[in-house]
Amino acid sequence: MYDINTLEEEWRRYKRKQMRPWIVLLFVVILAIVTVLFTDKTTFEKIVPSVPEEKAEVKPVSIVYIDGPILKPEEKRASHYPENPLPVEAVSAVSEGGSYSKQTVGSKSKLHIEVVEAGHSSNNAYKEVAKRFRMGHDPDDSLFLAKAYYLKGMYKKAEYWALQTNKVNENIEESWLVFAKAKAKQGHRNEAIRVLNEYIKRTNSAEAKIVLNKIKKGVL
Amino acid sequence: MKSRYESAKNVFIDSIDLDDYIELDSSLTAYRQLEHSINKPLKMILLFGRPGTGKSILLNRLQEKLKQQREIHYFDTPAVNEKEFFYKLFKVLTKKSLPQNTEVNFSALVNYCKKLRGKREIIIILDEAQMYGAEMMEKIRLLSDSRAVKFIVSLHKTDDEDLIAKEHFQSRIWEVVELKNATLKDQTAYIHKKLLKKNLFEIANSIKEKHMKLIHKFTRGNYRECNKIMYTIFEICEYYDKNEPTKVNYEQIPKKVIEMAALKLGYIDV
Repeated sequence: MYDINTLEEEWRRYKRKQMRPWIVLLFVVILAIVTVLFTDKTTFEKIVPSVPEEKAEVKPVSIVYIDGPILKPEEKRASHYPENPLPVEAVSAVSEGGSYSKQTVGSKSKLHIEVVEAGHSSNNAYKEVAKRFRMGHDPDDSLFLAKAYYLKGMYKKAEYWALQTNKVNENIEESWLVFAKAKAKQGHRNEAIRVLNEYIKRTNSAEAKIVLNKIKKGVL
Repeated sequence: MKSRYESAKNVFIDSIDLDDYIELDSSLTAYRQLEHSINKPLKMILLFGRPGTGKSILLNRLQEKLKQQREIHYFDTPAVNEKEFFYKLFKVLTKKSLPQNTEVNFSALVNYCKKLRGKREIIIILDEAQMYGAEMMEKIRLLSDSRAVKFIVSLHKTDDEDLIAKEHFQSRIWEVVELKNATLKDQTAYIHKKLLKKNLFEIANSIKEKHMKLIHKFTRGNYRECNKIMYTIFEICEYYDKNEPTKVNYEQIPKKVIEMAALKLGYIDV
């Protein structure tokens, strides 16, 4: 008679060996599914905001210059444009809802106006705007990027561009708000509250108070 | 207490006992082919197939069936040397033993066979003929040329032996009968018939189609291997039946037991 216990043990090892390729296959399948899901999610993230993104695509069609103390890079480019400034009416880059809004800008308060239209490649447009910001340090460019990335849900980038805007001009309320909101969205609620409190102390901004309230309530 | 599996185990002890012969479609075909060939004016008939395909039992059966009608002799084990072979042959042909300290003169033996032509027709079955050397085979062929002695040569079919078969036999217009490994259907019938022959109906029914497939996969349709695995399966079942009856499923043989038997016999490894 055989040593049945040894034979049984051998059989268990055989079964484990037999199962091994299936376990590997299962693991590979799970890995593939996870990869596909992750890829899909990333693609989804890229695709979903593409509708407002297309609208928001920043492709300057024309840049209107108005007399006054304009930043140097614009001065250099000024010669390419008509000497007589156009009426001071501009379309801001993107409103929070992703739509365009017309603003009447005073000739002294707004010197650099961009008219944007939907383009083809939003990513390239963003890169172009970022490149232009690095060259010209125009807070409108960085603010545009901050708001656009915020809308896309890319809060880290939104925070970065809001900070860049703030570095150039610390009096732009929108950059404070975008910064605080991006912070809050990333889970740094205390940091967001601290920033807004500091801004409210300085400006007593009603808009900032609304945002602060929303963050405190956890609505944002 | 005797286990029910003990009798089942003993059914599969490998032997060439004619009482255990199981008639299958494939073996019946081969048998008829052999019988038909014997009736033809052929000098030599070649039966070949891989080990364990049932050549020996088929030859035994042929001899058993024909011994009353024909002069048929079965040389089961090859002679250790030429002298011994011719001694055996001399005895068969002359029906006398060779006197002590004498040797068979091959030419004289051939002449003797020639004289027998038309008077007697002797059939000699040479099993395991791959053991005979080329020179011996040539002498056997010369004897068969006398047309008084007809040889049925059984060979293992391996790559080398296949070559021998081609070189020595095929060129001489021999009838060739090939035995192949059992198909799943044949092997299933073989196992069932063997068990039913011993009235082991319940055990025969406990081996399901899926088990037959597994057994066929492990044994590749080789009857000898089939006997081995069936013996081992029932031996393991017998152990469980006696020592750990809770592990035995009397309704059907567990797949585990078949795999354990396969492991034991080395068909699969860890």
